[in-house]
Amino acid sequence: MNPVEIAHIAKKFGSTQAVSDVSFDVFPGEIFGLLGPNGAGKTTTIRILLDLFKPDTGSVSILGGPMSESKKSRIGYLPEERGLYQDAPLEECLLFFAALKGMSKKEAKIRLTEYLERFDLLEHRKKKVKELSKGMQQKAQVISTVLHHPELILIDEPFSGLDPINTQMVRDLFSDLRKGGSTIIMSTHQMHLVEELCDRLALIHRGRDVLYGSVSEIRRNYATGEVRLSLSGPLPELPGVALATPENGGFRLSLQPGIAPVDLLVTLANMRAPVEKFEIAMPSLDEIFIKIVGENPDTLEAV
Amino acid sequence: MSSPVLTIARYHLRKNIWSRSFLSAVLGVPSLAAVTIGLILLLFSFIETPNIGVVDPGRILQVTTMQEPIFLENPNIIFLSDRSSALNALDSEVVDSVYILPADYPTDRSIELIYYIKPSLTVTKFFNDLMTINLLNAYPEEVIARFLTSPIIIIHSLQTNRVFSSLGPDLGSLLPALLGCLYIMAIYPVSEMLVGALGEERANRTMEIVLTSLKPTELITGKLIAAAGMVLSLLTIWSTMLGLAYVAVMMIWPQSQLTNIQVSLNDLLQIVLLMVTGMLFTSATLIFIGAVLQSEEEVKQVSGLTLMPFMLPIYLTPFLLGNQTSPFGIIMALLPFSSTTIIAIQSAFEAQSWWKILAAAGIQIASAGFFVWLGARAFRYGMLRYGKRIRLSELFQRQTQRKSRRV
Repeated sequence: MNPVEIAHIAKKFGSTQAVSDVSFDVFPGEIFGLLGPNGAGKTTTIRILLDLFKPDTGSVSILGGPMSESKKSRIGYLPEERGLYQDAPLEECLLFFAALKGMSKKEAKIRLTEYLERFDLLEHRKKKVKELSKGMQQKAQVISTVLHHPELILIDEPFSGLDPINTQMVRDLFSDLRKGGSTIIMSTHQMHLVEELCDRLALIHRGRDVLYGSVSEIRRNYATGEVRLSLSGPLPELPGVALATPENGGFRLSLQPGIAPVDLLVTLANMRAPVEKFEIAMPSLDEIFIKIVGENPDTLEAV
Repeated sequence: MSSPVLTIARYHLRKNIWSRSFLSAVLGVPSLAAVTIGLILLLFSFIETPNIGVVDPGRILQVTTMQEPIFLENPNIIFLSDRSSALNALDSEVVDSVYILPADYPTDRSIELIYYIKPSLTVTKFFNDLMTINLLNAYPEEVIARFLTSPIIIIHSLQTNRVFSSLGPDLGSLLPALLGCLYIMAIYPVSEMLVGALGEERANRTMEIVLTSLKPTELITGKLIAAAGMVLSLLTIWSTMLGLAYVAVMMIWPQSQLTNIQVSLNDLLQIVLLMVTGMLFTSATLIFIGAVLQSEEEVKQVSGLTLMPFMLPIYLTPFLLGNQTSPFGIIMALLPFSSTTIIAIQSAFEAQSWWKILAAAGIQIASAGFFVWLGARAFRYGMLRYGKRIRLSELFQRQTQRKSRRV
């Protein structure tokens, strides 16, 4: 059984339909991207997963069945906005959350020291949370999410407020956790990180899942048959090319109907053209996101 | 009791007990009491010892010293030879007033008092007592003492099952009322800390993380225990300070009225029980309010109003003490908001039956349980709806909907 199975969940707050119909499964040991514009229903979906809300309709299975108290210690959650006690010393605060997850003080202290060291926070452990920079607080929040080594991790905008170096640290941590067998559900707007980290994704728009599958599969599905070509010389007249647009020192070529990229590659080889780079122009997730959401730009009121 | 509850309770108790707010609460009440006593002493120190002149041709006043009252000195007596020297002494402000006794006072009985400023009641009493002592000089000291003070009547009230002294209520029986006052003083700072913590958790969404680790009822119960712990800590510290102050007073004034305080263990147990249940009820109410309301400011404003009923008994004291068995007295004593303080005050004048104590405590616990239950739902449905208040009716309605639609 998959760690997460959601089928046709819906949730309404007063007159606002936050989630209309969302279904997806998350496979063991994968990083799953939960995408969508602001107010699409991502956070509500995550809260339903965490049993903070009950869905009005639909079913949720988490770690093999309905949520139970014993499962809570097997789950780590990082909300979009930091949720640490601002007036508490960092170490004390993180140990408190570890205790809530059932960790012994001794074990939590040992593991916390390792994490604080890894994230360059060890020397700040006695400082109050509010005295830390935004990036440090975000790293501390990430530590509190993973300290108890959860099987399932739900993270909402984990890279918010992080500089490139810290972003890399957190990315490496997620990769390590995946290698260790943890399943991660990540909600973010940073599409390049989704492309890099996620195995599969679901795009929620206006409370419904409008896109669902593996990242490569989705990009392939949205491919337009265009080709990116870089040459060491001028672009020759190429049969089968409908339009050549300069792009990043090379060209983006739109092919005529019935012409496949491989046909163009054969043509270039026959012409002994000085090819430096030839690749099928796969759309980025950013482009796919804009295409889908842009076609239906209305967003729900944030819940 | 599950471990997450204790984790929450321990964390919040430790966090708050080592906070500046708690320290200022601990020191606030004793400081206020110390300042008040200090001001009273300072006020007494400014009171000049009055000089009274006495013209006593018959030499009635052989004894001129008497036991001094606490904080004050007896007036100085200046003997003057005749009326004319007395008037001179008054004019030159050597004395404040002059008592002129006739030579045959025991038969005459009239004493002339001359003054520019009327002598105080203390001076008048001092002079009267002085006359009594001197007139009864031949009698034993005990007889004189009985003449100086009215008899102490011990009243055994069969209706209230209390023993009173005509000198006033026994200090020991006033102890529950004193504890009741301390209880009210403890509720305020603890409520402020509790509500402040709720506001913070709401503002930075700590609540959202905590609720992914435990049930809302566990969270509330943990906070409740922490709040009760804070109140009990405050009361313990204050009681210790009070005890030390008592010992200090006894060392300074060993003959004071505080010597023989009789404390009824039964009364003490009753009020301590009600303080514990009262605190649980108060905390549960405030947590519920914190869960329903949205902004930190809103919570603080409403929590202040919520504490008003706890003060009500103090204003209603005259109506409640007359007949404690009246329907009004019983209802107020059983209302969870007011029962602890009402019964604490009533206890000073009438022994309280255990059925009344247990009924009041039971109602407080049941009400606390109700607010914990309701607060847990409010947390679940209201806490995460930032900026949107949840109504009470909606809370019940949602619960019904959830059950009927749950998949």
